[in-house]
Amino acid sequence: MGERGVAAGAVDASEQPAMRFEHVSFSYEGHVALDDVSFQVMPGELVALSGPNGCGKSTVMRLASGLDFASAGTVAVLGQRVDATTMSDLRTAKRLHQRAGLVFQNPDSQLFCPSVYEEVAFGPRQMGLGEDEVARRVTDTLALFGLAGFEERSPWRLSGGEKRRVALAAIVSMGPELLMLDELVDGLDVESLGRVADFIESYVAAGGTVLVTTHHHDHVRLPEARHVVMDAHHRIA
Amino acid sequence: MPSQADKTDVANGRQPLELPAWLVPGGMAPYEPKVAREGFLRKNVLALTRLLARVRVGSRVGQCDSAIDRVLARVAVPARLLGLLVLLVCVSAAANMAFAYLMLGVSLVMLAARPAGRIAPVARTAGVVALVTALVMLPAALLGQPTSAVRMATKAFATVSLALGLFQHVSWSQVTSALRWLRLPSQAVFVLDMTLRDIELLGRAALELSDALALRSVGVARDATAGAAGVMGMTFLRAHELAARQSEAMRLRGFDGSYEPPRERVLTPATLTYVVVVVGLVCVFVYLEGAM
Ligand SMILES: Nc1ncnc2c1ncn2[C@@H]1O[C@H](COP(=O)(O)OP(=O)(O)OP(=O)(O)O)[C@@H](O)[C@H]1O
Ligand SMILES: [Mg+2]
Repeated sequence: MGERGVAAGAVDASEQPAMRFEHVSFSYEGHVALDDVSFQVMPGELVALSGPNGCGKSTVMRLASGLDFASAGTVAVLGQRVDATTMSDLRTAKRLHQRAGLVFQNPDSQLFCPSVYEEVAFGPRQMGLGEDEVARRVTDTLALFGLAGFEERSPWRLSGGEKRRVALAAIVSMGPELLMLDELVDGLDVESLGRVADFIESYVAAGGTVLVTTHHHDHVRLPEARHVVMDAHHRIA
Repeated sequence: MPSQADKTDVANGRQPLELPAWLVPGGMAPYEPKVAREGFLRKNVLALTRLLARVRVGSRVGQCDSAIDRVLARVAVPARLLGLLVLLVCVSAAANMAFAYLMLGVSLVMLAARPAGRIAPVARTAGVVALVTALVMLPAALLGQPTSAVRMATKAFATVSLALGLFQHVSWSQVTSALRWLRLPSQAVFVLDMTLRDIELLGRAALELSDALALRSVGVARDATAGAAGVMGMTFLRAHELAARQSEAMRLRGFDGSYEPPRERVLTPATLTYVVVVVGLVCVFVYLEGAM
């Protein structure tokens, strides 16, 4: 329970990085994806992780969410060590998943409910919120991403950019403190991109932490971001 | 980097968004998950999708794990396919459990003949399917048919392990040409081919979706099965869509929709022996059903 004390723990938490990778290495069945990667993201920061295809950006986010575990080095997210031992405690894993939201690169892999409403309501319902509060969160989130009126649509039948925004809404409705957006800005039209960028800006201004990946290093749409660049050798450049 | 501001609307005087209070980090009381245990059904559906990703058609082509497999490898694929189909129908239709137990015995013997490392993947998949079946049948058991769950689970285990035993050891092109030999129209083979050929991709889709489910399962759902059912449903939807896209891609690359029947001789001594064994088992089935 200690990691998230409201009074005493909060003092330390402001000093602590929201995400810390220390000499992290990882391979998929012998195929190297991360090689001795170290970086930090401080609370309230917006960081853009960029690099060529296959350099390991998505892998960083999988490790930070506890979907895979580093073979060497330390991963810590919101003051919580993320490794096989800590994540085997379900309470710890679930707490982490609520506090640190991950929006996948491929929205088809993220949407599994029959309607947009159900999709966005899934997380809040899991959290045990009352139906009134759930409805409020769904309405608020859909409005944020220009999805009002999509409630009854099937996520499966949406356009690529719409799916991406529904996936984002489904994560944001859980009220996370840290958002990881894997290539979210790709495939969004100018207006949607504006909405998402506005949201990120306000969210960061309100104290939220955001890590986005992008390979558009040259013309990033998020001018306030601090850049962390990876190279083709799966290292921080 | 203000120089890049012209590339975006962010800095250009848009109204700052007002975040809803519940979304302001630290604005809400911290969420404490109540559960300390994963839901039973969800856990098993996750295990099942993970296994599906691992066991796929043709993963063991040309490798014989046991003496039984070596003998079976000499039987023509069309005969094996037909034999499997007949036996599966018999097992499913059997009202007399003796036949289901007999086939369970056969599948266990075939499993046990393999080296230890090759038993686990098949046995675990079949086991999980049997468990899920038993769970689905639980209401019937509670409504006064206590044996039905056991029956269904037994049948599920036997059929799944027999089917896996075949499909792991034949390649997909062998299956499609066997289907042609069985006089299935090319169109039907095509549909099957499209639906099933990329079962590995399908398995990966299931894996990704179950990751997504795990990431959002931050508590306990009022309808505990909804997410798991959604993942299963979405996996099949994606399979369907994927198959459709692939058939389009194949047509665009000049595939005319016809499949070749097998070139090698089908009626070998091994095949005839196999047919005799299957016919024998069917006779046992008919006898047992008649004896009821
Ligand atoms: N499931 C997997 N199995 C095997 N190798 C994988 C798997 N997923 C990723 N890889 C490999 O790991 C490396 C890092 O992959 P990752 O998805 O993290 O790259 P990325 O930086 O996100 O690339 P992109 O810009 O294309 O999204 C790549 O070389 C990739 O081929
Ligand atoms: Mg990626």
